[in-house]
Parts: sequence; structure tokens; C-alpha cells
Amino acid sequence: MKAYLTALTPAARLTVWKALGIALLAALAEVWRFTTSFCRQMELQEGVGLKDLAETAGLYPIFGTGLVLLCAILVLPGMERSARTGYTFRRLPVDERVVTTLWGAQNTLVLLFYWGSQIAVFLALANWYLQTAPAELVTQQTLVLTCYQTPYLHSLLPMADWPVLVRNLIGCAMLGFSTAVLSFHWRNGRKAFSTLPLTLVAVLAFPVGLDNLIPTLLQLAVCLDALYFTIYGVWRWHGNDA
Amino acid sequence: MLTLHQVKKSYWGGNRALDSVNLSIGPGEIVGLFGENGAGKTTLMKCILGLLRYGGVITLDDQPITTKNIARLSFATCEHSYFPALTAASHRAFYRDMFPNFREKRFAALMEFFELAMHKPIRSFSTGQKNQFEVILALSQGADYILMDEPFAGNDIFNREDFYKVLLGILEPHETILLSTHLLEEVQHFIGRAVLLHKGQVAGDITTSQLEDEGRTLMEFVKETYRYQADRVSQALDKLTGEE
Repeated sequence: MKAYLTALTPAARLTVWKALGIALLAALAEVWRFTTSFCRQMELQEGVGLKDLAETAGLYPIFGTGLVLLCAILVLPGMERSARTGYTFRRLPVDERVVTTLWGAQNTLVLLFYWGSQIAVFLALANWYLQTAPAELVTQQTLVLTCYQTPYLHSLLPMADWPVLVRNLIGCAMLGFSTAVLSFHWRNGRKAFSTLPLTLVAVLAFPVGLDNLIPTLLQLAVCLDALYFTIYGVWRWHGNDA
Repeated sequence: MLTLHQVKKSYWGGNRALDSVNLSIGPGEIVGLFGENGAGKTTLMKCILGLLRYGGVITLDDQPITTKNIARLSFATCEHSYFPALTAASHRAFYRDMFPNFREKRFAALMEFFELAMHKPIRSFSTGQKNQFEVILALSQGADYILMDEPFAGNDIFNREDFYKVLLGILEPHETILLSTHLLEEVQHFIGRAVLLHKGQVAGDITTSQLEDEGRTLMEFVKETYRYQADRVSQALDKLTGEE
């Protein structure tokens, strides 16, 4: 098992810091946009609710841009740009398909971290808002209601909405495995582009409002199918073919 | 013993790159693999390493080459197989963990000899330095069979000379080199055996001691094997100038 974990180190070395950087940049952008939007509204002496502030601050576009960049960062280490790294991978005393699967799990963890960091940033911003905003704009229910009423925030923090929570988890796995498997196919001379449409669809379909069970289940089914076919695409290649 | 039996390889469109190649390379041999462009040298190496699908049988000490024994083979290629964004130090850590026989001392000595930076990404190296690093990795992996495919493409003559000398000095008796190159005259004093490929087939296979006994140079042997027509160029020039 140690050999398999070692085989993941080049990808880990090349992605973890960059992923942290993207999460940090996204967080900084959100803090800057959120606080400046709030201050501008206060200067205009116009009260602004947390829901409107989240939309004005563009939290969702920042999240989406960060996710696209993150997927690009996860794909790049496995691609052969100026060297045929595939020659090295296939000379290791490990099965490249197992390495790719573990790599997918590693990428999934990175994406889950990004999701978690976005939740943490939003909760921190909401906490700051609740303490700073005029009392007439804030109630004990403000945070919960905002998350229920804003499709993006509801998807980011689904709370008791289990289908959305499961969809997010499977979506992270789908993108994590897709990024690892894309480079596996490229290293083995097979052109694959699945990550790009999957990432764009994941970003565009991410906001789901409350009581949207059918669309959520449909998205979950798409994520599961994509995940299954992505992993199957690796394992159907025999050792010598891979 | 690395053994190839009836190895065949065809690419799309029926282009046959290897045609029933039989070859055995024993421990400690230094073998030069020669041939014109498209003769099948690179394809042969990639088949040995399992990077391409092929027909026939390739074995290492009578065992098929799988993930269990692939670490006994290393590969230095002019296409480069290192991780461009990683540093030499990161490569050392990776190879040390991945290959139990990794030669740490050799790696350090070669890095020092070629004055390569340990903490810069390999992509920042010059082409010559990248080639050197590629070969250093192949030599340090701890493999019994070291395959090199045009490893010095882009290096200057002094650099290459240095490398041959260092290589002869550091190789242990059981280490085997299979070196594909066009630089016949440069490597003739370094190799112990020459294998000539022509249109995917082994066209010649001779040891350098045999050549010495016969009083021939490697270049003469190659020209004879390929039936090189010395007057080909003058005939072509005569035709061209005659047309004018």
C-alpha cells in the first residue's frame, strides 16, 4: 500500500498548495465583495438583508470560478505537457488503474475541502453580518431563512435536505474521479474531454432551491452515472492495455 | 536475461514497426541499438517496457514483465519521463520510496558532477540538463536493465563524452545498458555489442571484440549490413547538375 500512496505524491505535491491557494483567493474575494457591498449599502443608508447581500456580493460566481479553476488544477499534474510522465507511471511497481482510483479519491477530498472552506467562509461572513447589521434587519431566524430562500446558499449548506447533501457529496466524487481519470486516458493516448462539460454542468446546476426534490434526484442520478462510467472507463482497460 | 522472441508490432494502417524480432541481452552487457529513422528502435524499447501492445513474447529471466518485476527496468528517453514541475529533490524522494534499490549515492554524485540544481523545478533546466537529469534517474533507479533512447539529443559533444566516461566508471558488473542512438562513432568504444535494426528486423548483431578480431570498425559493419552505397550522393548530384 505504501507504494500506491507514494505514487500519489507527485499529484499531491502539485495540487494541494494550489488548491489551498484557490480556496484562499476565493475566500478573500468573497470577504472583500461581501464587506464592501455591505459598507456601500450602509453608506447609502439602505438596509440590506443577508439574502440580498449574498447575491450582490456575487458569492455564487466566485464559488463557481473557484471550482472551475480547482478542477483545472486537479487535471493538470497528470497531463503530459512537456514530458511523458505516463512512461514513469507505467514503470512503477504498481497498477496504474489502482493509482488512478486513489488519485480520484484524493481529488475528491480536495473538492470536499473546497466545499467545506466555502461553507466556513459564508458562516463567518454571516456571523459578521449578524453582529454588524442594524437590529431591524436581523432576527434569530435570519441565517436559516437566508439558506432556505437562496438556491445557491441552500445548496452550499443543505442542512436537513439530505438529497442535496448526497448530491453534493456524489458531485465532488464525480469531479474528483473525472479529473484523475481524464489524465489517465491522456497518458495512455486516448483523448478525453469529459471533465470540462461535467465541471460546467456541476457549477451551473449547483444552486437548487428548497422543495426541488425531482430536479435534485435527477442531478443525483446524472452524478452517479457519470461517476460509474468514469471509474468503469479505467477498469475496463486490462493491465497491458492501460 | 532479457529475451525477446518473435516480437511483432504494427501500427494503425498496417505499418509494421517490428517484424519477428528475436534478441537476448544478458547481465552486464552494454548494447548499442542502431538503425535508420523508423527502423523500430524506440518501438522495441517501448514494447520491452510494456508501453505498447505487441505480439510475441518478452521475458526477464524467463518471467513475463509485469508490475512485479518492472522495477528491474529503467528508461531514459529523449521525450523525457520526469515530472517537469517537481524538483530533483522531490524526484529523489519519490524514487527512493518507489524503488527499494534506488542508488542514493549515485544520484547525489551524478547531480554534483553535472552541477544540477536540487531545488529547482526540472522544467526550468536547459534541454541538456533535462537530458542529464533523465539519464541520472534511469541510472539511479537501481534497475538491472537500463534502456536509453537517444538520451543525449540536444547535448553538446563535451557533455556526451563526459557522460560516457562517467557511465563506464559507475556501472556495476551486473548492470545492463541498451542504448539507442545515431551517434555510432561516439559510442563504439563504449559498447560491447551492436544490434542493428532495419525495417523492424534485426539486420545485424555483433560484439565489438568480434569486430576487432575481424579488423573492422563499427561504421564499416553498419555500412556493410545496410549495403550503403557510397556513390549514392555523387550520383544524385550528377543527376541534379545534369538536369540544369
